[in-house]
Amino acid sequence: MDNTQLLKGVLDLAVLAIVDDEDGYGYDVVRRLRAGGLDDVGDASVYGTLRRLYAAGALTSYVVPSESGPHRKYYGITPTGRDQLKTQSDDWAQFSTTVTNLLQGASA
Amino acid sequence: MNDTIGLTPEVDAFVAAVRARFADLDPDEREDLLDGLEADTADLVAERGPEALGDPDAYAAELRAAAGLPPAGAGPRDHQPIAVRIEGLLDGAHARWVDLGAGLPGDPWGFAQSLRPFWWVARAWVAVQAIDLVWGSGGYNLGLSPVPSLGPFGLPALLIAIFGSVQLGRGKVWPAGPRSGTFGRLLLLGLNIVAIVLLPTTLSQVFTPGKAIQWGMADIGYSQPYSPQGLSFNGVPLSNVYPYDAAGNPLIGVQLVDDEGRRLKVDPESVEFYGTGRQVVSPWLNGRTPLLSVFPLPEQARDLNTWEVVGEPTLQAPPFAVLPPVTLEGVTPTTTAPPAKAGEPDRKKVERRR
Repeated sequence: MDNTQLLKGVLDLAVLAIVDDEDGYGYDVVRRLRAGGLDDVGDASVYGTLRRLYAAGALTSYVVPSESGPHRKYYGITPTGRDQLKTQSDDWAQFSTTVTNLLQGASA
Repeated sequence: MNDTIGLTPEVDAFVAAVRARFADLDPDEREDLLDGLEADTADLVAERGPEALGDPDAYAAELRAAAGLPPAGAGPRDHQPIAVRIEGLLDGAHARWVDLGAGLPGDPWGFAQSLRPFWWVARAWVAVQAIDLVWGSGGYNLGLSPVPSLGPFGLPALLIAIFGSVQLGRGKVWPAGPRSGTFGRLLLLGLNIVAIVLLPTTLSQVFTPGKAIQWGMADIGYSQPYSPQGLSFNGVPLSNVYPYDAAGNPLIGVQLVDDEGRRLKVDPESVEFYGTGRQVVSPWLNGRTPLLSVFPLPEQARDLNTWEVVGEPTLQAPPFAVLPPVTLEGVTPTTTAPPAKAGEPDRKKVERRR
């Protein structure tokens, strides 16, 4: 199933939820999104989303040096991000319920 | 989580390729976007192998879209710093300029580049000439010389300017070189344009013969300062002379010669030219030879309206009826014996005082 179009609309919400659960770096977030069932999510899409949420003030970031090789850039959620997560979660719940009801009505 | 991140050549190459596709962003923005990408990509490769990397173009496009940036090459964004836009314009103009000569035989662009050192020297020369024009001899309307004058500093100044210009051309000093920045680049462009504009003017200033003042004089007909002929006083030609003797009485028919026996005569043409005489003088005669060295000279009046000469030449009354008598200490004023025949003066025999 191609979830790409659907995913675009909810990627912000999904990424905020993952980071709210626990701080993470780029690939870690990708891995957890996939583990959660969003198999089609693109690495670059997730990284771009993280950067954009960070630029918007919803996320904070910090660098964790590694013993060898490049450092990892971790993201954590900010109060602004938490507000956004709350609002968008409610919107999503309402929207998905509406769509689910619509679909049930259509199939009934 | 694994704390050891293995960077492989594939990861390096991939990140470099992605980074290159963000060249249009300003450095801070680019680093914000790409910070941590090595580690993330290394994790990906460690988990799923290098084949998971895919196409850097598509990857960069996806990253841009997700980060809310316009696609690469979409043109300057409104919030893009003006410096980046100017850099883009300059790079574009440079590329088009190079493309112009790209297909032509003989590699004209390479040829032009070989001539760059000549330009470095030329622009230094123009710069020093411009300084000379404002603060040096050019400022006194004396024109320019091939080596700028600037007092004794022309040649040293020229050598220093050439040194600076060549170092600039080699990209060794600001505003040229890799760290020039947009302002430096624009400054350099502006200076070069000024030098190009000034070059023809400077060349013609230097190699035009003659100087401005003399050209101006040549145009109205006298290329050398005029000096009056004949007797003159304070640079102004005399139309007549009135001699008096030592007792102060006016004399008539006095012939004047100098110490070499040359007759001291008035020059009516000079008088005419200077307009210093209202009368026209007539010569005395030695036989048939007219002499303008015998004083006072008879004069004819000139009608000031028609400028015609009227009446017969007559001796005019001298300016003073008498002058105060004069004496010379130890010398009794009396006649002086002629020392030699006129025309053969022998100064050895002249007894100036008796």
